[in-house]
Amino acid sequence: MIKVSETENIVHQSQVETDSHGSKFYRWFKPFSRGIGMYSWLAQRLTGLLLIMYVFIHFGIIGTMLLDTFLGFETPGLLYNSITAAMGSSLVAGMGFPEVVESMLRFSYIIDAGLIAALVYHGYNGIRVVLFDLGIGIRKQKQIFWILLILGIISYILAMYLIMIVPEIVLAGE
Amino acid sequence: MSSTKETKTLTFKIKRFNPVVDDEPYWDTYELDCDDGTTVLIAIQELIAKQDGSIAMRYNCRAGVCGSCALLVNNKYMLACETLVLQLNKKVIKLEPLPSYPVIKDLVVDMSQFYEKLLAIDPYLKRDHSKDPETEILQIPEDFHIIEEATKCILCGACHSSCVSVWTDTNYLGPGALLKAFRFTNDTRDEDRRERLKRVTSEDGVYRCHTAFNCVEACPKELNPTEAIQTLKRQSAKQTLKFWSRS
Repeated sequence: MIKVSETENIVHQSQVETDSHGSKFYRWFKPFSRGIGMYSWLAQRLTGLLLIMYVFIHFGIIGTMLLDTFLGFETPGLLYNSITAAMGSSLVAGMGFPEVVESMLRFSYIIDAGLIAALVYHGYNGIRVVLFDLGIGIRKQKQIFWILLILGIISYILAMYLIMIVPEIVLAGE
Repeated sequence: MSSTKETKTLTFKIKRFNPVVDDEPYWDTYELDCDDGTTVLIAIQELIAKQDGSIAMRYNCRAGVCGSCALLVNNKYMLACETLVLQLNKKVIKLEPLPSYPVIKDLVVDMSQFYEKLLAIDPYLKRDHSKDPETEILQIPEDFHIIEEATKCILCGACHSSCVSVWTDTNYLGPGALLKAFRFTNDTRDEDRRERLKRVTSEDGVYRCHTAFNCVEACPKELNPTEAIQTLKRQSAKQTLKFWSRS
């Protein structure tokens, strides 16, 4: 092993954090010699963080159901109902969209659409990672990714149909 | 004899950096006539000889065996000696040193962190030599086939440089060292399997691998360190479970 002199060593130490390719953080997003594996892993982390954040928001909003009972309101669920009603209508109300488009654009629907996208991706890529831990398909990781991505898109379209189109049909029937 | 070789003038952009003098890395641009036999290494040698003697470059065998000339060529990990410039199909060829190692000068990096990790896994056969036969220790082809791919590693350090887990935890053994660990753990002549598996199960061992497959993308010899690490994970998990079920 080459021993560098002490003065040079000090320079090297300052270069460990920023080599000639910039800081550690920048390096994560610099596109050199990257494949599907890297990007799928990054997306897995980001969707994982999003889902954790969502779980806490979810706890908070669902928790308001219990809060009513604690505070002794006469109509249980008043707080929860008003929050969901506000989320559902206030954002795009009165912006002049046709009725169907307006109902599609409702705030809660946009959140749900994003949430389901994150969930579907995290779930399907999770299957891929579990397969690797079982020692299956490590050399076919790219093909497995594309197959699961297609399955994920199909699942996503199905979920969107169920939460966006089906309620409209039911409401129109009433 | 008339030469029918096709020659093209290509532009070489080389990332220059001398940490003792420069504050920031900078790019130098050179032009060179290349034919279909010119490798990146030959091109750099010609640049050093004819245009700029101050470019620093490390090479040794010129045949893809020693692993000392690994570079980022157009953002891809490659061995300079094995890469033909005309086959890259680019007019501008960008040359950078391996990322995440401290730069000594220009294209030469300090790889001691990689060698430290390599030494930490004891990269040699461990066995009771008193029972050894007089001749060499033989191995049947089926046993060698398990570790055949891992023995082809030339220690160029590209995988260690590309690994996201190495960037965040510099103590992580890294794909290169763990590929070697796999090679010796699964060598039927080795008698230190238990200890080897225990060593790679530590906090900075196999479980730092998040299967991002950067090492597979990087390896100029097209080896698969991720598969070796995943195998080590399963083997060490099995050994730990055996230990707990026994006590």
